[in-house]
Amino acid sequence: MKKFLCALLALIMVLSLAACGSGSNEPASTAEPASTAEPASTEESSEGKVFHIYAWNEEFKGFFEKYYTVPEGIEVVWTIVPNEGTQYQDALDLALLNQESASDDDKVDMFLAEADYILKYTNSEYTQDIKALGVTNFSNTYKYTVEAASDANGVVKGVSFQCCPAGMIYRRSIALDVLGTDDPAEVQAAVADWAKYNEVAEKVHAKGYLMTASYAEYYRVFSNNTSSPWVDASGNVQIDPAIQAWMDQAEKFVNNGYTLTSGVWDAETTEQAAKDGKAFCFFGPAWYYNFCMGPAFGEDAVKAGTDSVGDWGLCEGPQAFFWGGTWLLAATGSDNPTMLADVMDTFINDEEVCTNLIKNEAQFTNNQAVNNKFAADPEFGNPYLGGQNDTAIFAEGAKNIKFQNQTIYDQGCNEGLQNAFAEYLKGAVSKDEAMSNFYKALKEKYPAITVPEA
Amino acid sequence: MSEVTLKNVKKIYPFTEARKDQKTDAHRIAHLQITDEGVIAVQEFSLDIADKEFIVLVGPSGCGKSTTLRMIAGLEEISSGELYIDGEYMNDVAPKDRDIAMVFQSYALYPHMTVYDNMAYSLKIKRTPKKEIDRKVREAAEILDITQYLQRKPKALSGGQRQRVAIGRAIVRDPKVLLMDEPLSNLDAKLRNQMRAELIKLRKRINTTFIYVTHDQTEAMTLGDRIVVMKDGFIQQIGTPQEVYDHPSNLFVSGFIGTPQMNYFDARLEKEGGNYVVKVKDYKVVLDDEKQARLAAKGVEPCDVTLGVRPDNMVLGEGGIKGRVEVSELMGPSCHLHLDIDGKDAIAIVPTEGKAKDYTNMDVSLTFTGSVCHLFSKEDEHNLEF
Amino acid sequence: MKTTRNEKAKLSLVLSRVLAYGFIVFLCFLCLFCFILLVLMASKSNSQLQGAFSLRWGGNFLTNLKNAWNDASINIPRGMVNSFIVAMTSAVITTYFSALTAYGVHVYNFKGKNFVFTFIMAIMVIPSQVSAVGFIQLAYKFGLTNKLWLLIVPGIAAPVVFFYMKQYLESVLPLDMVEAARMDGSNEFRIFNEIVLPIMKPAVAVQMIFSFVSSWNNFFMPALLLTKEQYKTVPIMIAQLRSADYSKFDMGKVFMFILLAILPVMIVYMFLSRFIIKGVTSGSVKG
Repeated sequence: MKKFLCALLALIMVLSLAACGSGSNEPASTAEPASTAEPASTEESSEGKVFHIYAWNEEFKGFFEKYYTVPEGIEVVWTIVPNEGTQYQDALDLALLNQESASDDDKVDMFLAEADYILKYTNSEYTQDIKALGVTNFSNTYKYTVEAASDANGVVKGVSFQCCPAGMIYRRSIALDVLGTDDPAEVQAAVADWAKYNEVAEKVHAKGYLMTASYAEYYRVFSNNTSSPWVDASGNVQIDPAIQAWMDQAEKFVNNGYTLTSGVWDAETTEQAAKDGKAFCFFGPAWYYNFCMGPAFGEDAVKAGTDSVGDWGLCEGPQAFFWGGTWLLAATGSDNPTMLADVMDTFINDEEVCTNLIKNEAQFTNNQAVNNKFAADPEFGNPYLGGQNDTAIFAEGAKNIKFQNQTIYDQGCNEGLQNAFAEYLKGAVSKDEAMSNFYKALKEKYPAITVPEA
Repeated sequence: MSEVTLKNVKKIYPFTEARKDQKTDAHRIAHLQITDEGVIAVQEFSLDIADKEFIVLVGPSGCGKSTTLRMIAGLEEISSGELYIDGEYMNDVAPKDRDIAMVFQSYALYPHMTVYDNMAYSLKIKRTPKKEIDRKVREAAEILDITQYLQRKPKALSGGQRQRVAIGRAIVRDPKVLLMDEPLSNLDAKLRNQMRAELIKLRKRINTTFIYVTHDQTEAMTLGDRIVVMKDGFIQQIGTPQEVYDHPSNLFVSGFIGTPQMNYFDARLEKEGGNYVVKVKDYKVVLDDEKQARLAAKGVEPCDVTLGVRPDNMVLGEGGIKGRVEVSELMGPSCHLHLDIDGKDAIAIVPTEGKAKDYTNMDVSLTFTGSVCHLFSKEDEHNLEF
Repeated sequence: MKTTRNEKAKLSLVLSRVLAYGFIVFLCFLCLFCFILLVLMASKSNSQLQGAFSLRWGGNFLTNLKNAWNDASINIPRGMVNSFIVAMTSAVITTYFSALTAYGVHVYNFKGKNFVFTFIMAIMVIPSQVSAVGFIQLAYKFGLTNKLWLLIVPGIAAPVVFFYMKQYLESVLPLDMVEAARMDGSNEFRIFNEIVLPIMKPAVAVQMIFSFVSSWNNFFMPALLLTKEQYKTVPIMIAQLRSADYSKFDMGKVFMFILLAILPVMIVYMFLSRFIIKGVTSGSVKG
């Protein structure tokens, strides 16, 4: 009886394997004739009728529909998979994996990616060289956006349609009280490097204010400017001096009462941006105003009179950094290479489109010429910032942004470290424990890497 | 016409994947014959049941009586042998097509249906017209006196009422054969007596063949036209209640039928002057003519026997078997004496004749006549007369 | 003397009642707290939600409702309908087929019955995510995405539900009843539908609630299999609202949608809980 069962089990397994085998082979073989030709060399006349874009939200879809003229006879299909957990990447991976066997209309032509995981795609064979497709003019783009979209060999696989340089958003009233001035240039001079920034922090604290509302407020400023990657070539995790500097500074700030132990997204933090808030500065890009500073700028806050509109200024801060941004990547196997190249070219080089993005959508584009035009325009100001032209500050900062030392482990490392270190800052664990917790969690998430012995 | 014929019907439970309930009752299996094929629950069961006859299968638990019933119902496969109902071969006919109704020991009512629906279910399946169903259900309810409960659910009924519903469900469709599997065993003593009487009345109103299973000899004696006594899968005796009582075919039947149980004595069968006599120690009884003739016809030689005498045949008298009364139970018209006879228990029933008398601790002498002696072989326990 | 003792007894009775009811009220509050919180959150605007936590009524309930219902990119009514189709049919299918399987394994004796049971139990041990990944890949290979039935049909095989049903059957279904139905002339399928299934109502209701809720809340599979707007289910839409870009991001809308999304679950629960009555079979057998 037992032998019979074993035999039956084995038979079932073999059958199921065979079923899977045939399942994977068949569609591929039937689809073979359609996709024999290299997409890049396909003639225009034979291009597909459906342009398929994968994205995780509707932001780019809105811009695309408003400002891009779709060629006659082509239908644009959007697949929006919300970015909950890794769901977007999972769905995208599946689609790319089956790209070859998918029918032409179902093939992914272009997909959107964020800085956190862009490397995974640029370094894979699922993206293709856009210079070969005909996107060659990068003269106006910011260097870091091109670096981000390039693979290890410098082959460019996509472009960014937006640029997210960030700066230091400071409170004018506190600046006047502490520094005696609220002029962006003078405030910038006072916080030009971290040493000066710390001096200001001391003064701010002496007057009874907080320097920042969260210990992690400027983490990205440090992590954007590291001199070594999180994980080296042989897979060892390393703490960069810049990261170490942040840890030391966060520890000092918390101990001295310069900042709170709440996270960037916590209500305690955002509340400090309201009218009676005590925080001197926040660090963020243009989208930070709406997204993170609701109590300062929100409609209801304005209605209730608890807002702080106009009480803010923007300067570059101690170091340049970026936060966010969306890249358009060209999928291998696209059956619409001409349109693909045209879309990418339009969003970085078309002056009209870029102008519209700034004027109507409050975007900071990836076109230096257009950005600079607005930076120089004295009429162009932001009411949140008391009429200050923030584009000018961002345009200056964007030139200094680096996209280097990136690894596919960055997201886990950055978030893991902040979370683990926060436990220490809140006094829940010792510093050693916090670090060993960080390494432990990291090892669980990425079993392939080596962490220092505890 | 619904005759049921069983020919050499046999039930064997294979060793593997035996029914769970059988497995758990290991001691029951222990008495049954075990062969290479499995445990034999019913052996060579042959019986002709006449139309409208009331047959009772009786025996201790595990004797195969329920299994036999379930084989007739079709709920249990017949391992070998043949089953005919009205001359039709039924071995491979599904239960639903045999036109047999069955009352279960546990009633097995459908809890989510009203009494009415419970009774109507089998008719609905047969696509009987609604009016017809209504008429039949009400008629059956009338017979069983449950008309006022028709709209209730089973859980709102008492045990006796549920029992009536279960019977009603069976009789409502005029089955060829009505099977009953210990239908009264879940009722208390008083209700059981009452229901027993009602079953006798019911039987007179319904013209169908009954096959009734019980372990209670009283039910068997009072209900059956014929009773089939079974033990360990074997039929021990088939006969009318009176036959079985008067002429038990073996020691087991004699002990199983009749209450209080028959008394047994070690005795010696001897021949004196051409006549058979039984000797228990010094007490000697000459058998009556009928028994003399039977024994002579069989050519029985003098030998040691087990003598059985029913308690009500024991008479207080001089020169009989001596014993000491340990307990004396006054039952009204008679008195049950629990005796110690040479270290063995025995019971005698003596009439009180209107005068209560306490026999406790008295030494008595018991006699009986030659016509009430049952002689069983010491070797195979069979009745020497047959 | 007597009166004081009486008073004492009365006092202790009152005290224990107060304690008991107090505890019940406390538990009740705990259960309702999340729900109340959700309603409050759904009444707040995005910037109110970003600010300090407060239990005050936000006053934007209707605005949020309007915004959520009329959202340009997501079609809430469509999502609700999709989710309901998937959740309801898969709940019905799952419970029905699991009950059928459980009945088959419980009532019939057949060769390899123990093997079948062990095999189903073995499947239970495999995490559903593992099989889901394979299933999704297969679906992509065959180009079967964007089909609602893809989410429904795999529900037929639910070992856990089967196990629950079998346990329930064992405790509640006397084999006599099945045999009685056979004697009544019913065929096997009819016995299951007309006799066994009604007896299993409480178990079916429990499992229907469970599978309805888990299917209603399922995000992983639908998000990978349903990419077209017209097929998206509620959890995907909620996630979509949550990952909206900053110019459209509105937490108030998200909370409102979550509130809307749990309403059908509550309705289904209220509808089915009627069937979860103890002792449905009492009275079927014995006293």
